[in-house]
Amino acid sequence: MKALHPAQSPTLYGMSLVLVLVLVLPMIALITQGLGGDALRALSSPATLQALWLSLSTSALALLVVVVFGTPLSYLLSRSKARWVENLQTLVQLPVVLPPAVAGVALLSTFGQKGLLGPLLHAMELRIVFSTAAIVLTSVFVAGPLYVQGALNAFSSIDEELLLVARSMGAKSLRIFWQIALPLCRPALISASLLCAARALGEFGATLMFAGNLPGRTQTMPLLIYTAMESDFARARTLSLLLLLLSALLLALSFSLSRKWRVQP
Amino acid sequence: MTYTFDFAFVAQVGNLALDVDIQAQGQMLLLIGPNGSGKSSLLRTLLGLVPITSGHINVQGRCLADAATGLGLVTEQRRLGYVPQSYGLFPHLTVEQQLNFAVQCRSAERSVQRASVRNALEQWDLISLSRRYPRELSGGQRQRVALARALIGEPLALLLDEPLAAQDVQSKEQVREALHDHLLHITLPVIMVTHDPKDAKQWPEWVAVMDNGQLRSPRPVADVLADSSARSARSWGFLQEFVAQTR
Repeated sequence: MKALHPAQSPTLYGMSLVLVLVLVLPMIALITQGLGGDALRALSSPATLQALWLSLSTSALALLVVVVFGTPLSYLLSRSKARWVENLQTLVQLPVVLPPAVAGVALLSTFGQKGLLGPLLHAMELRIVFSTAAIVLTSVFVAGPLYVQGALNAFSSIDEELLLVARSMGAKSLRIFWQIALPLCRPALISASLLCAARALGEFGATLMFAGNLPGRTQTMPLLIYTAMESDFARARTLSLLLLLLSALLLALSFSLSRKWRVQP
Repeated sequence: MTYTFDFAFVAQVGNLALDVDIQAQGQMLLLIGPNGSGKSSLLRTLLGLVPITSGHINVQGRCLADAATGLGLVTEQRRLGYVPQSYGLFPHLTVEQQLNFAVQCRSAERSVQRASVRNALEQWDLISLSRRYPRELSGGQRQRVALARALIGEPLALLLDEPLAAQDVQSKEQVREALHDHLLHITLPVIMVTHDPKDAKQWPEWVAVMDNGQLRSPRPVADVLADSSARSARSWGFLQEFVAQTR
């Protein structure tokens, strides 16, 4: 019989199994039970399609905003060693660990009628609370930092010598960003954006507080599942399964890309 | 073509004094010294990453930095060709794209850019490799691309940081010979950092020894050894070994 490696003791296996079960069992339950009942009807109902479309479109829009503005931010954060930049890094990461209820209240305190920007938005005749824009803003707020962190790690891993060589040739910062840093980090950036999209797709608590749960306008998939739970649990299970599969797909893509990124020089 | 290298370099924590005058009258300066003696710091200072607190840097009559007037050009304005240890080739660009990138940084005109890339590909025998990526090149080929790329923007001087350090033992000698041949044809002052005595055997003319962040004006190694004041230096043991291995 092949001897066990010291790190592979039965005790360690047993302890690991406990957590694996807690993490995996609920998903197995969802997969085995989500297809029961009238799954096809649940999936093809107008309310589902509407919520699915809303979830996908707002997540895509949020992702676009995050990538366009988050990529330069991550690059700048990765290139500076100043103390205030480190503090800024912590600050922009904060929303990731913020309780969803706190995020909701924070967004309401900023964009709500009596919020920080309330008078300005009122003057511009813009109403964000309980609108589709609120879903996008919430996604940017809670999922954006995931992208920024991924992009920051990627940019920080670029060999400094490459950048120095480019500068010695006379390349300006913007050219180095576009032609060296961006293409070098492309797989990692895509991987980070997939993670960000998956997080945006699953956003629930802050969205409920800031955007509400209005069918057709702000009712995203997680909110529809929440609503369905109250009347038809089987339907909620089927919808959850759909969201699980979507998230799994995004995660798998993200992982495979980041593996590829590590293998390349 | 010969160049004169006039150097005085004193580095202390928080205080960096440098007097460098590189004139169009010399060939090559080897910068030697034990690990941690400040060789790479000197290159980084020349490149403008570290500001000087006194002295000046002149290369071929152009002032790159002057502590007295507060002048200090940024790296991208210094016009110094730089080849780091691992050659610094961009992994996502082909040979031709590497040259294109370098030439685009200096000249705006498309026709000029195309012509200089074509010339460089021919001159460095890179035409057959023009579509290859760095990972598809041998050590010697990478070196050629790095040199071609550093020189295509017509720099005032060429800085090489241990260009053979990344080579494996088998190809090292061959690549060293090739580097020697290439540098013979370069009409530019070249400063090469090394801690390999074989480099001094190949290029015995000028050697500057770095010790504890200090550097004296360049001269042949033998002269440095004959100088009794050098015996007290921390680099003395390194120098003796260095010379023994060049013989």
